Amino acid sequence: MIFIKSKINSRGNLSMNTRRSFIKTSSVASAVLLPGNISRLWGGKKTSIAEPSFDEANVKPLIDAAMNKGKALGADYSDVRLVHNFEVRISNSNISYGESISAGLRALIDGCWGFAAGNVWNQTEMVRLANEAAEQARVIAKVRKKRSELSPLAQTANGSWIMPIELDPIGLNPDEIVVQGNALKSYASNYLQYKGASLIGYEFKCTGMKQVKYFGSTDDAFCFQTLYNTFGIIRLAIRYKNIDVQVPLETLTPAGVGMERFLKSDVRIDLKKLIDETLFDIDLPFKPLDVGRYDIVVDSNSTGDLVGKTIGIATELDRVMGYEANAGGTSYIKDPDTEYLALEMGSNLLNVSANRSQIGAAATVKWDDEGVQPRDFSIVKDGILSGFANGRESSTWLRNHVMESNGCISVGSEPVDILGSGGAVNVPLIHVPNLIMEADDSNEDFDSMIAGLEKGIAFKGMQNLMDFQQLNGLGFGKAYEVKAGKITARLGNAGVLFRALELWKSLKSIGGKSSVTTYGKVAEKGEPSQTVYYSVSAPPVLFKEATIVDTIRRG
Amino acid sequence: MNKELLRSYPESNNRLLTSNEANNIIDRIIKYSSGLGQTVPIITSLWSGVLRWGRNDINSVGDKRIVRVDINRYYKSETGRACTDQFDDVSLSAAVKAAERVMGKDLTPDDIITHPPDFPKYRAPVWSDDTYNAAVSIRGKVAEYICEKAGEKGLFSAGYIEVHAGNRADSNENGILSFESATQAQCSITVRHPQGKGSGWAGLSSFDWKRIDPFRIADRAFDKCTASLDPVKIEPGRYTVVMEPQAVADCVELLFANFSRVIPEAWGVGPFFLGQDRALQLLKSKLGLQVIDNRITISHVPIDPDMGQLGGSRQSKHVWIENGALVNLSYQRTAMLSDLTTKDLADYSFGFHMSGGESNIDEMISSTERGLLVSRLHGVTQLERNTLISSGMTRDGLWLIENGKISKSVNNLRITESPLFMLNQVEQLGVPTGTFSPVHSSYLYLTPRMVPPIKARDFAFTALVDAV
Repeated sequence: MIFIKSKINSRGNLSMNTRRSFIKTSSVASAVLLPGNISRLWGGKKTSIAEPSFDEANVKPLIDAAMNKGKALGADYSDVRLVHNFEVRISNSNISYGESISAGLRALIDGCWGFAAGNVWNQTEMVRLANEAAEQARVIAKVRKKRSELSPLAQTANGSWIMPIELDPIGLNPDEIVVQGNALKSYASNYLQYKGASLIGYEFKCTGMKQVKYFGSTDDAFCFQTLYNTFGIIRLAIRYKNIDVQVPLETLTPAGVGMERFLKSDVRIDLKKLIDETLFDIDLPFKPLDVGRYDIVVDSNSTGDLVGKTIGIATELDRVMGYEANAGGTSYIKDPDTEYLALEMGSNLLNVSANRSQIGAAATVKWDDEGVQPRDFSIVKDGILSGFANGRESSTWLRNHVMESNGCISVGSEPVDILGSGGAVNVPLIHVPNLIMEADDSNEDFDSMIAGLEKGIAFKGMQNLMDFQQLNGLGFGKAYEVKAGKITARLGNAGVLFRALELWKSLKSIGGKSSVTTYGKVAEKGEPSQTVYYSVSAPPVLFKEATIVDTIRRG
Repeated sequence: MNKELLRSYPESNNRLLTSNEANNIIDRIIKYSSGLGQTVPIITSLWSGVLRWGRNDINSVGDKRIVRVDINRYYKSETGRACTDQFDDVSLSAAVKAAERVMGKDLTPDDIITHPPDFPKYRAPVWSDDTYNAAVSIRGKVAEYICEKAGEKGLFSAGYIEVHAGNRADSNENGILSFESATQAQCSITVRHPQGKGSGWAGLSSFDWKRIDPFRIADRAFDKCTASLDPVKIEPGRYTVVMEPQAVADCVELLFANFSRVIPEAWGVGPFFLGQDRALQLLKSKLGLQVIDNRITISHVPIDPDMGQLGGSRQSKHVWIENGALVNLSYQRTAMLSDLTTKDLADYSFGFHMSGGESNIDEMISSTERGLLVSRLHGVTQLERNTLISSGMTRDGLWLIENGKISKSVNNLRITESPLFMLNQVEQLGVPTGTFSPVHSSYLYLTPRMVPPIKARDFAFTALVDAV
């Protein structure tokens, strides 16, 4: 039995202590104490040594030291991010902890960027980072022809923000989650038995992350925010009518919510739904695929994946301009100056907007990693390209359009399997924000759209393999034959071969507001590669005359 | 506050932790651990310097230094793990206590990595001072060279040069067992037409910066771009392919991940699963059977200077496929020794050497009546786990070969192919060379790949792809 120290209240949250309350809290339940020394929060004993702790009073002098040094070295602009990362990972009943502090500093000297990052928070290191970044910028200034400019800031970042959640991963007794994992296993097992099947394997994995980010710049910005991200996966191995299948529960995608999501009844409801769907699939007859052109209905998870890849990623302005060409690739948007407000991305039913303010979404922040407060903006309006994800430097790139930064700069993390990986060691880059595809005013949802289909194919959980311009893709997932409004068979190896612009132009109908669901996704870009999380909210949609192929046929 | 915040390792201006500093940390970790079982701390200290450019413009220059310690506590089948990057007494002791507190939860008997007794290891060099000292100015010169060259012809260049180095201290409660250092350098350059009418790429990675000739890579990317301009569309279908080593490496990558005994013999799946022996209740693998062309041997010789890997190996040579027959599959040390009839361990490896032949690409082209020359593949994703059929597409240059000559540049095509099928339809093999197979700068290990160019028949191209 783990004995948690008294600072933690019965909900697993740390209680506020008597430090000056610079932390603005909207409700007591979300109050969190900025962490003291590492690992006291893992339930460790408080020692009698007077340890320094991380909070505004201790961090501000460090940021000042870095910025003053930058100014002294002649930087036109400099900013620094100090990030304290915490991660708890649970796999069945195996628990691991990871924690790190990191600092990343950028300096713009003579119009050229230099960057330095490390793991140490003290004055000497801050000065070293400033020196290192300046040195690099100066070396490059000798060979670089262009000079970087930044668009002006509407407002400097000042203040603090805590993402509102219920259960903080720190301080929460991880046994609560482990017990819940076992309870869900019993539930799944019992429900399957009731349905005449059996559970032959079970896996429960979840991760809770917390980041405290401090930001400062030579524009006298100083802000800090506490961000959370949780995600998980449950895998069931089911035996039914002598058939063994393995199915994942995919609703626990990355999101800006706390560990309460694993304890809520939603997980149980989703598990029941997954089991019902799996058994229904096994009962369905299996039919080999007839390739050809069909009307297809895809569920909201699939639409979200399409929106994320063909629209979200394709409209990152640095990718459009060719800065990602050596890594992830480019975009089908070739000439942003002429195609902005002109390129037809899809039918007039297609409306996609971007934000970093959606509650519970994975890319939500109060300030981006450049100190800009993100604003909601439109990417596609009535089918026409109407916006790009950009930052302060990239918003100056378009010749014909004066733009402001949308606040899409983030510092992605290191590869996800590194526990508690550093949150400031990478260069700030433009990343995909949260995306919302607008739904209809109707009451249509996935089932009603299938019911309205005379002949076609329904897809669930599509994943899309895109080319390196986010244009041609192959999408595949669970595929069902639809005849006279009813699902009649499972189809094997069915895939949609599409060209993004044509696919979105063939958009015939979209679901209603109640059919929209939000899924979190992972995006990777940059060199060295960085990983970020974002959410997409989309309704199920119907595409006309999609090309359906056999994915594994070698032609 | 009047006390400086945490940590002074590594000593300022040292990019990496020294052996003494690592020893000190490990001693303290062992001191703080109590209770039964083993304490296995792994300390990784990494430095990397990067330079990135796009659109003929250097937009990112960076220096990164990270240190992390991974504290694992093992006792029989119980494991506990905590990672931290702060080495003051309070943090370290709390991390050890945290790892101990979560021991005893996972009661599934997994493979616990216990450290074997010391015995000699075979290993080629993995550290290069040239890599460690490849300064920003050197990297900047390469970028300057190709940006100017591409700019003169109205093309855009994008590229990335990274050098990284690291130390890894691996220990059990008896003190440091190993303190190893490694470096990695990578250089990759893309040159493309601004309106997307052509694109060329070249790249190489190695532990040694001196083995990479970045100016030659730049020239190659430039030449391939100019040769790939204005491609025409051709009909997808089955073609004879002449694959450059990079394309072969991209295709065969999936195969390397399957050289594990667990996959066929414990899970009963994968390309090397033969079937179930119902009488003996055993899952059988294809060990001993011919799986690919008999001219190909896939092996790893640890002292081969091209094959340096961190950790080295207790065996002087690993062979997985010998003359096309599957002769070995790797497995974990403690796992199945009791189940298997052999006492010899077959370690996993990150590096692979695929044998080739005497031919070269020019010869392969001149012996092809009609075929395609492939530079590299992008996004090869496995679709089916037993045949390894994958979907991917060609990238950065695809040319039609007609009557022994390259006739025209063609648009990229999507492939639906399996490395196993390709390796069974080999016509000619060239001399193996190093390829671009770098590891992310947050890890410290090396993945050397020596792969030959291959000419194979009946390679399946299933759809057109617009992307250039």
